Amino acid sequence: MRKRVTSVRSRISLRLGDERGVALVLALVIMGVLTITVASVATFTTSNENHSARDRDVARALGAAEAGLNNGLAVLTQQDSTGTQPIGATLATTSFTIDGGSGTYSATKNSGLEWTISATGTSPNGRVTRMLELKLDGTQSTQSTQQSPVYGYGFFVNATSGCTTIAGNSPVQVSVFVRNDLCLTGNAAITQPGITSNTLTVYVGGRYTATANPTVAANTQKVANFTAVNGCQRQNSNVICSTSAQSKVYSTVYSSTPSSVTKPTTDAAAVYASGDWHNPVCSVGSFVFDGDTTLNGSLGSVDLLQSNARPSFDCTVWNQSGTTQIGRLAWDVTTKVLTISGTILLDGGLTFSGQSSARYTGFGSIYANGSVGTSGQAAICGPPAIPNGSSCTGNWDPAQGALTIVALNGWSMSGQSEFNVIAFVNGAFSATGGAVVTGPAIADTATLSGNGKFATVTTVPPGTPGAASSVTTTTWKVLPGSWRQLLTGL
Amino acid sequence: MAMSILAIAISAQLAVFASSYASIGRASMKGTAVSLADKQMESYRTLPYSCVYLTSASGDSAYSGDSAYSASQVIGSSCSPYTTPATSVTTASQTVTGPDNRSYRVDTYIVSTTPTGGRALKQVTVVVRRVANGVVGSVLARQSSTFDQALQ
Repeated sequence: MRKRVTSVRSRISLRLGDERGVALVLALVIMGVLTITVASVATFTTSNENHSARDRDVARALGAAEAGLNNGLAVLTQQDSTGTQPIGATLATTSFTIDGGSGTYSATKNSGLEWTISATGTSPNGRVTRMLELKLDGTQSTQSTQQSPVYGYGFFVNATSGCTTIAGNSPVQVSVFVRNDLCLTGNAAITQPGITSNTLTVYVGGRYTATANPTVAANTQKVANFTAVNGCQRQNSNVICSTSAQSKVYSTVYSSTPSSVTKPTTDAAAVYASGDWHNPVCSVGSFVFDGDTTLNGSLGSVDLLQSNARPSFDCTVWNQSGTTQIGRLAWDVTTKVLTISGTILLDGGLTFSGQSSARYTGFGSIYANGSVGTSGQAAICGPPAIPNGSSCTGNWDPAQGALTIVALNGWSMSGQSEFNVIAFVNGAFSATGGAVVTGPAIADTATLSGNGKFATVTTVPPGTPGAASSVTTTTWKVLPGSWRQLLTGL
Repeated sequence: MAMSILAIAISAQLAVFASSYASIGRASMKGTAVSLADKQMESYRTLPYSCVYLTSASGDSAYSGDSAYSASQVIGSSCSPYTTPATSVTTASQTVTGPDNRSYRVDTYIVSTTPTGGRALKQVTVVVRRVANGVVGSVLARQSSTFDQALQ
């Protein structure tokens, strides 16, 4: 038994002492180790590559998301430029692409002047998405423009050469401002109304010339101020203005100091661009404001009331995007009432044929792209006055309603008629016979004969050139510290 | 037999090592390129809107051949009342040395773009290219974003 055990031990010792085949085992072991090393290196390299690629994708996704925020800023500052959109208003999710990447942006208004913009950006391969958010903060400033001082005069002439002639027997009883010479002929006169004194101002930018027997005010009812920059002349003789006995000018104060007041400018193109005049929205009847889509006088001349026979209409003109009402004009043939609000433009001249007799309500302006005129008996009466043939019964109160008619190419009235309106005229204003414009007449040149009867208006209606305006500007800036990156699944 | 197996294994390992070395080198360069593009883009984020411009839009064929190139880029020379920006942000094409001491070409494109219903924006695209032995090579990294006036 012991012998057998010894034999087994010696065989094992022999086997263990034999090194044949060891190299193969070692080679296999080393290969295994190398395989593990290679696999590790490959894994590390692949991981490094993936991380590097992801870094690039992250950067591009972040750039796209930033672009989304900026796109949102660019859109919001336009669409809510006045800051008037209501709280809770939204900017719908909008997609965009940028340099191979893509993204979306959207926004919600949190408060009166604060928007929150959210944006996502995705890398070109779609593997990485980033989400950003920031707040847009608005600040408002208001710039007010005073009403032009020309409306403090009942009769204003802007020409700096030639002579503004006033003839006839009825006195002009409003403040007068002419930048050129003022020529009074015959028995023409500028007088204080009623029993008042010292309420009117007369300004002559050139020379005051009186032929025949005209007067300015009276010794018992003087005007407050009389200015003639180039002096006075009466019956072909130079006279001293302040020597009333010679000049027949009675004023409390005399002056020769020039004034810088000028007639406001009109911007017909801007008025035309402000509304979709070719497509009014009419709730009653119809009315054509523009014959085509160009400011070109396409309507020729518009007889607004057609001797009171025009069918009723009630039409509103909106801006080009249909979001803001520009003006409304309505006519009721039964009640003979014209209703105006805002600004109205007619791509043509404006006439009032004989027997056109109406009263109006509201505050507004009518731009006539042509001349304005009437040759027959017509009356346009402001509240509370009511028409009575070719005149108005009662006194117009501009605080209850006022209408400005802007004639872009002259204004001519003759015959018996009375208009309780403000006449703003580019070109010549002419009122002869019994024609009366009760509101201020503002023109480049003017000729008056007959019943010169004007009134001043404290506040002119909207749309009138030189009307008081208040413009509120909203400036949008990114709220500091509001930028943040949101968690995403990728 | 064992030697053959070892030779094959070691050769394969060397090949993998060489490949890995090259791959890691490329990844490193791309990482550096991303950093350079980031740095350039961040520079524009510090500028007032009116100061985001190039002094010249011209460049070599690599510059003008990029998809971001436009003949009508935003060109300027000053942005009063602000301080004129550094040349590094107004130069269309420049070669810079990265933190790894390698050379890179940083090309910048600035064009005006307007989203629907919005106001004009400036779109800045930065492209970083490899430079080897003075020769401009492939694109390593690129970034693009837009800038609105409300940011400054």
